[in-house]
Amino acid sequence: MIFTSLEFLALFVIILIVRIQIKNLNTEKWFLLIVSWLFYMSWNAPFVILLIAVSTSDYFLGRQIHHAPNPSVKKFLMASSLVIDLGIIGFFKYATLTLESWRQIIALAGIQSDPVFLEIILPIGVSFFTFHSLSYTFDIYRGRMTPVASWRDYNLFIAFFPVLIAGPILKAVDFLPQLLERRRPTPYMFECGLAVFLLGAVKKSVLSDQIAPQIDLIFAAPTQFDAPTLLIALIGFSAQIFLDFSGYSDMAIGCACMMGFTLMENFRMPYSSINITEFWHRWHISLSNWLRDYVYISFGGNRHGTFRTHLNLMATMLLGGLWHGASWNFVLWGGIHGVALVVHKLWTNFHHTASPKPHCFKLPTILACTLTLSTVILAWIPFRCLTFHDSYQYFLRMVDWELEGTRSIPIQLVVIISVVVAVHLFWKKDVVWYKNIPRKGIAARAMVYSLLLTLIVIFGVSRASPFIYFQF
Amino acid sequence: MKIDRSKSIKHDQNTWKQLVFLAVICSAFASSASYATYKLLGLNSPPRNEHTFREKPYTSSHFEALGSSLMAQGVDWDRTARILGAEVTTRSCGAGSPAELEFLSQAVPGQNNTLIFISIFEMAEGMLSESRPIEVPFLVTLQDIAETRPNWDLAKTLLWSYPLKAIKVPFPTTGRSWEIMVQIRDRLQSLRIGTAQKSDDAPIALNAGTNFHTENLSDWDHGRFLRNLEQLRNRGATDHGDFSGPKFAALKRILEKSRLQHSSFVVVMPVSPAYNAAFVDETISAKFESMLRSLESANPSAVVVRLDRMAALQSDRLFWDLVHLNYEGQKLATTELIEELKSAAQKP
Repeated sequence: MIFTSLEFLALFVIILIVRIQIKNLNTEKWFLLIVSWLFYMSWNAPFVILLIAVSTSDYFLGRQIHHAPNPSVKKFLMASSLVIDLGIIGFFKYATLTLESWRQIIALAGIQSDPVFLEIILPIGVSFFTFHSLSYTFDIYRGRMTPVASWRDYNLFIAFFPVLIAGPILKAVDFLPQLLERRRPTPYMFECGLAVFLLGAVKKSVLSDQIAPQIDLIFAAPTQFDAPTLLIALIGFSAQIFLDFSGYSDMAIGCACMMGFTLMENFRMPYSSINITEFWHRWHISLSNWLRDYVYISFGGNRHGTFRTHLNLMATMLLGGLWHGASWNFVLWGGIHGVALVVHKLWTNFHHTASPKPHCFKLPTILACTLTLSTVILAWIPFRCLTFHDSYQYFLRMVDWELEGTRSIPIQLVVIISVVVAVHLFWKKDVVWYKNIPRKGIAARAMVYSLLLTLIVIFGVSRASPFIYFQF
Repeated sequence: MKIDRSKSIKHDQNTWKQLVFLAVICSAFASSASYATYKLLGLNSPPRNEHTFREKPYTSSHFEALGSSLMAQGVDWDRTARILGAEVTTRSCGAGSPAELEFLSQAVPGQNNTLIFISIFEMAEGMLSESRPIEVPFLVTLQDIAETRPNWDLAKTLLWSYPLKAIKVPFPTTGRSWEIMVQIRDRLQSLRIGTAQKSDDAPIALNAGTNFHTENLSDWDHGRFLRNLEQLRNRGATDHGDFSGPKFAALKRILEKSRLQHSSFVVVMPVSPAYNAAFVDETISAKFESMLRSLESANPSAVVVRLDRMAALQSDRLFWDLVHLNYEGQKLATTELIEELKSAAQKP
């Protein structure tokens, strides 16, 4: 049940109507929890047990951590939470990769064995809800919050349907306090939610889904296509993944907003970043914050000298890459970003210069933007290709400017790339559009919303492809 | 400071009213834009086509041919009516499968010969005709789902096509973005070069007839070929299922009803070898054959005509796209069909 489907829209309208009728806060929370579970069950019903099990174990562990008599017990309980949550991700997501990699390692030593095929179904959203849950135990362990009293509230935090499948990754300290009182949207908040939901739907169903089949086609067999096609497809994929994922995040934020909840922003014009560090402050912000707070800082952050800082940064990005999926391609992607971040850190340490001002069309800014964007776009090759070999071939054919092969550059791909480029070039990157528009006059709002709605009913793809981040 | 709560509530109420007003205005605008696009791009073609072919003097026999654009274009009906000396009425709808054909039929018991055209392309369970919610009553769909137990995704798609039909009343362009994109591109191209030229990626059957005389699949460049394959894949052409879902149930019902006719024929239309190579493997082919065998055994009086098995039609040169026969292909298929119908008529 994806956000752009009719069934979700119908369900959401029902939720909004029923919620208004419920007068009691506890009943309302039970209602939201049950709806969230049903939403999860619409993907794969049995895995709702896993979802409840993760929530329950961390709920009790959180209490135990808080009441632990001494630091070593506290540490042991925190480690238990980590083992359980990461164990679940590890089993469902990485078991096959681990066994296959082990087989290849022992094959190097001359011991041959059969390839491993484990028929493990990946529970949808597992990487997201385990990270939600881990943020809770971490924050209690660090004394940043006290345990939540109600099992139901904790389950609702983990299973809250707008963010359950693909984020933004919630932090307990941000969300749990919102469950303490009845949340009702003000008209302004409701309009903000509606506006950002509409924008998300345009990004997903009008733009991203329009080019998805063309890009899938090219990445499925890159060696069949010539270099210009590969280059356009790569830029197209950069646009697609941004539109797809930020569209999903926008719709999640919009749904929550229409119900009176506030979620953090997940994307802010990432492709107009002037350096890679800024990129990670604008791309999948909830994940980069999570990795910074719970991985990078846990490794020691920047407290142990330059070398350790760079090592921690690299390790965090490699793990961040691996989080995306059970493939060494994702590790390579994380590695490229890690190296880029380290290089940027070294550069700023060496030059002690402030970054060029954003949105001033001067040569240093243009060069910095181009370099950052090229790195990000090239790093999408291993992210999107299925194997190392495909990534290598893709890269090689582009660099060699191989003109033999099929040329397939559909016009809509070029149009949509141009739209994304234009928005990134000319939009003020720190303006939160959906919070400003409801403050405008009625004519301006009517024009903007009419345009968004018209785009959806005319160009919206009805047979939507699943959101890219659902697989993670 | 004392907060005037009644003032704040009144302000909120006014803002809510403003939001409702905005919603009405925006919906009205989007609806008008949708209608304008629908009319301007010529998307308001009739969902079903009906033609009667007669050549005097004709015998009293009457043929009712039911199918999709594969049938409408794959057979020269004028010639067929002339040679058979019969009146032929063709009833078709885009991507029409037996599910829709069941309700297109207006056969009068005891007077007709029914020709039901199917192909492996339209029998794919995931390949749904846009006409489905228009032609097939909701209760029949419910009944079919209960009877055939298709997978959950397909059942959901079938059921949600009805609310989508309702949404298409105020917003007629909903779910037709691909056709719109193609039409826009064609209009732009015609502006640029002065003449209307059909697009490379035109959805199947949308530009029926235009490329019919001039094109053949084997002349397509590889990029166009791959994009069209991807488009079909996206429309559900790979989701064949077991050929035992609602489409098969409808086909059985049509044949049950046509027992009351003089005779009934199930004509299996060919698809291009390129389509078969991309989408039809041995398992799917075996399931399709098994479906046909079970039909034959349940309806021994029905004649199954296998145009898809004709050796002469196994060439991409005879198709103007992945599934539609071109002019050359049509000539061959028509001759074969007429022979089959004649020989069936001579049988006691």
